[in-house]
Amino acid sequence: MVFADLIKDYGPSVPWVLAVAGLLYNNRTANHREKRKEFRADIDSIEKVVKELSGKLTTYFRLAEHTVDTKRSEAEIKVLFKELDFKWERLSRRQTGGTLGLFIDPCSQALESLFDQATGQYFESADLIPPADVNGHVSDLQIRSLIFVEALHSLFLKKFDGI
Amino acid sequence: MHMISILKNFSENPAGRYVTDGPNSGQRFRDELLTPALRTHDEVVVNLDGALGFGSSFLEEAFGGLVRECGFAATELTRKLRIVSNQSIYEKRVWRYINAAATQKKRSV
Repeated sequence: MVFADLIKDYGPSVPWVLAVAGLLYNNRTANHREKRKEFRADIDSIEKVVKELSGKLTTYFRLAEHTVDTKRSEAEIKVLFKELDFKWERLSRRQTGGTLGLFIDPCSQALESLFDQATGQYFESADLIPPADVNGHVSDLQIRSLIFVEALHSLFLKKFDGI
Repeated sequence: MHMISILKNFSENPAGRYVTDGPNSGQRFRDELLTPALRTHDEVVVNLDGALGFGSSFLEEAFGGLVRECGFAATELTRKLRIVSNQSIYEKRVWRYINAAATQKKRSV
């Protein structure tokens, strides 16, 4: 009897409750999808800068002598690093707290490792890198670039796919 | 408090580690601006904004060199030196280089 009364009293509002729940669910899913797109776009944008940077660094460290282009090349590399730093800071600010911090650290470490290696000993130096070391140095830089990009993708997978 | 602006007081394009690498090196910045300011003021604020960008060689020599070459302790620098930048990553880098230089100095003693 009590159940019948409940149905009688609240039955008409059930479709409304279902409609509101559906709207909330759709809204939540759409937000998640948008965040995923934004995050993906940020990572793609960072990856693009890393690729450009990697190309510039390869050309720079393969220079056989200091020319008028050397200074321009050094300035371009510094500006690209600045852009990369900005983009990385923006992305990492999206991810504060929680266990994702554990996945931000490897990205930060990979970026710092790339930065130190790229703009360390032989960058903006009066000494050119010894010819015998050029290939090893360039290869090392490319590996560090890939490690950074891989760390970003891991961050994305962890956030959106729980992997 | 003493303010040093990289852009206004030094160069738009800080570059290189040693004076032999160029006129806007980390060594020159440290020896001509940073060290004298730290020796004569209780608080020194370094504003890194406005520069084209920084290489690790410049930052390491300018700030890590304070510990390695000029005899400052990391704890003293924590008290006296403040880094200002619209990119917090630069501030973190400066302190990373200072702490790394301090750790290396401890090991070598």
